[in-house]
Amino acid sequence: MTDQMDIQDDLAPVTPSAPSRRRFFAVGGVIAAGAVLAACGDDDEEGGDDTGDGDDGGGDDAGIATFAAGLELLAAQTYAAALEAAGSGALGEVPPAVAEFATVAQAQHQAASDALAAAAGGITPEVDPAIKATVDEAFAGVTDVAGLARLALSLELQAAATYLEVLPALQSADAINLVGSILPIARQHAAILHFALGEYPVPDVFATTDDSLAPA
Amino acid sequence: MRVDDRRLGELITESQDLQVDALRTAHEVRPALVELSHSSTTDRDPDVVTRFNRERRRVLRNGGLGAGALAARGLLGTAFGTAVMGIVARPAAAQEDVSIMIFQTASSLETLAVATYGAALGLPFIGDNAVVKTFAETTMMQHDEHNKAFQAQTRDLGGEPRTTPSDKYAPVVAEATPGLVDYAAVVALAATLEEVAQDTYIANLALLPADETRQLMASVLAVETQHLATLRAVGALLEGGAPELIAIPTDLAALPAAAGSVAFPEPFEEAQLASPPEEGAL
Repeated sequence: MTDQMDIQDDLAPVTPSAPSRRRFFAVGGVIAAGAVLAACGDDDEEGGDDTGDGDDGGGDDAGIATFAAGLELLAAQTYAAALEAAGSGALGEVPPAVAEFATVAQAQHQAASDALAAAAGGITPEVDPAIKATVDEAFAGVTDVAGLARLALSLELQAAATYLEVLPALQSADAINLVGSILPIARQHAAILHFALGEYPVPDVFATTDDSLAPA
Repeated sequence: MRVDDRRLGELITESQDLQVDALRTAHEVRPALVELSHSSTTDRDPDVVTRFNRERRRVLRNGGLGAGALAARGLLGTAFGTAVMGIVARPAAAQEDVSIMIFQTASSLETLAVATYGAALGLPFIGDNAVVKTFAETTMMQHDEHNKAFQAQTRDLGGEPRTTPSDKYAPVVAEATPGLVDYAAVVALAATLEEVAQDTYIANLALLPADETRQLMASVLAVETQHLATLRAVGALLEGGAPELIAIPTDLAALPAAAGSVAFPEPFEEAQLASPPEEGAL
């Protein structure tokens, strides 16, 4: 692992304790309560149950979706930048499988960002500036395919850890199902990146929240 | 098949180290998860209980699991659906019955996975590729740890841990076993079991209460989906006639472009093969 690619030490992780989750939600909860449910394809004709009294955590769901949409957008942007760098020759020779990985992963993260943004009430996703600055700095140090894979692996694992962190607090079934459908994709990306780096593809017995992220 | 003996020796040693580390991590994590779950069931936040009950009722009214809907899965027409409908008006404590069913069913899938990988390891050709053999050994161990965690969770919720394999899929595995004459057949069977587990655990997330039981399910889901991704990639290389590329160190330059994306064919995983919670309930 190259030091400049190990961004996990530079980003402040959220520890898995309950106080940390509350901190996350306190930041994320500024989004209007219920927005996530309105945009999640909720077909509940008695929707007041879900959003009316603000007691069901709908605001938390929206805040989480907003932050996650930004994380996914950052991943998509990073893969797009990687493809551009590869096209310019800045990363040396890029194997076809690596280019294919970056192309598909970029599209999948963009799709996830779009879905989460819709779930947050149709917001325009914004990348957390502190996280973006750290990732941009790490990306500036990427000079080859291995370095790119290492950076991508960090991003994928942190995204997955963040979803694992927030899942127990999500309130609506739609939000849970959306996050539950995205988390596996980040972990699948990570497995292939491990393999590309010559590492065992499934090194963990249980996923943990150790590397999860929260707004600065 | 190309084998880098020196590197494979290192890999096996490395893998054994990883297994030791992984087991250590598992043993550290599981008690914490169980303890957290126990505290959540005995010292519930009334607001959480209220939200949980409201959400559970909404899930049932809507047919539940997002666009797929419980009804579309036939869930509401099953014994489980009937049981759940019967408890929606009862307090959260009674709904732990549903969680117990979920974890018993999950244990039935994990037990079957352990048995299947164990049987695969007994096949005469399985050792021809050290990477595949290491994967089977490690994955079997990981499923066993998942099963132990689910059994502990079942016990913690007051239920009887399930120790027998899935009644639905055990016959499928038994029927497939005589046909396990090459790696492709083994990978195809394993991938199916991993996908069933993955889809089941995705579907379970919205049925479990908003506490650490949901996090335990998600933490295992995150690992099963990596098993599936690896098997998809390995299966594609076998199908493409390039078994020599199933090797570490990875020959990135030689991999076909499709190898870069075959492991994740969709941007979202849907719970299409999910086992309903009552399927493995005792």
